[in-house]
Amino acid sequence: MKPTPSNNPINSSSSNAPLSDERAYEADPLAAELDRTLAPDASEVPQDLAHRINIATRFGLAAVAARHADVYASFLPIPMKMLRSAAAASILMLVGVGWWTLINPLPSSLSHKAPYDLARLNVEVDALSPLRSGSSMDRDLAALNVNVDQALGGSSRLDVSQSLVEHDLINWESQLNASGGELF
Amino acid sequence: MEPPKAEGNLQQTLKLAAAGDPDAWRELIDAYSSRVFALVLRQCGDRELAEEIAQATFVQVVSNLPKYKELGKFEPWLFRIAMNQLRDEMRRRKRQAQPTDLSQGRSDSDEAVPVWDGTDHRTPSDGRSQDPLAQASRVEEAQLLRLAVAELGEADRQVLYLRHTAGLSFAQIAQTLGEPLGTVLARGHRALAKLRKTLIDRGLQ
Repeated sequence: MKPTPSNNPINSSSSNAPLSDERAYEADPLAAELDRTLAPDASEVPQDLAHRINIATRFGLAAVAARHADVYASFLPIPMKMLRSAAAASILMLVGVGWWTLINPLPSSLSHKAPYDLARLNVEVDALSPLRSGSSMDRDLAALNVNVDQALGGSSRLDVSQSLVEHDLINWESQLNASGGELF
Repeated sequence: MEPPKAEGNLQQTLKLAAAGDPDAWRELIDAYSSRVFALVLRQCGDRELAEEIAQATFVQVVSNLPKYKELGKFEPWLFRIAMNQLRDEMRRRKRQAQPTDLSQGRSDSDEAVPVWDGTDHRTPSDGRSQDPLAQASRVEEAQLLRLAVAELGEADRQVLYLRHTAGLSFAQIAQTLGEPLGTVLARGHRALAKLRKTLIDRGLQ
């Protein structure tokens, strides 16, 4: 520091500046001198300081990297796990439904069983003796109604005497007429 | 006194380092280790302890980096950790901080260059001669100046070291010390005034 009035950092004070003014502080020559005097320089810092710090923090950094990977791992597999779980649940559900369907037939209203059974009923009605007495016919029709109810799973009721049997009786009548017989 | 990294680059580097990227972490070490070391060295005067504290500081930083939220306060956070490490170590060793050993760790040759800005302020246009006698005088004056700083009160010293050694702005110093900006600025001005008075009293004009 040359003690010349122009650049002497000691005598060149900016102390009249407001204390809250950072620029005034920076403009103070003594502050500039402190910059030069107190700043770290290459000669005082150990040359391999950064290397040694890097080694000292290696395990810490590895732990950070592992933790970071764990965080991602904990996020990424969740959909995969969910997908796997959902797929497994779906397969189990399909197997279960299939098994249940095999051993438990669907209600007649959900299947095509009713027309099949009605066709069977037609056969059974056709098999009834057209020469039975009225009381016997009533008894058979009552039995048929029970059969129809069972065939339809109770979900639908078919009045055999009014629709199905009447239709078949007409057939029977025509058959009887054709054969020379007489109904009731 | 520019920060070693642009703010955007620093954010990106911090983000990568927090993910465990070794290159980004090494970049942070290269950028800040010298400043942390010098800051601690100025305060304790012990090179071994300064290096130990610098290592402990970065160990703590790396373990807390994933939790660090980048709000532009990395440097205050880093230097606060360093200062806390030094304080804790001093307490642990049950000894008082030694006055800065002015002859230690610094050559004070004109070749010495501040680490982080890479510019040599001591050009001939500063009025500094290359004359050996003038150089010797310069070394002596620098030692006197550092001695005068070391004799300041701890609060004043902290501000000067954080400003001129760590290279923090006053806003960052305020964040580091957890004090209002105006208080820190006023302390800086007062420290300069005390320093000036001490130097004049000792015959430096």
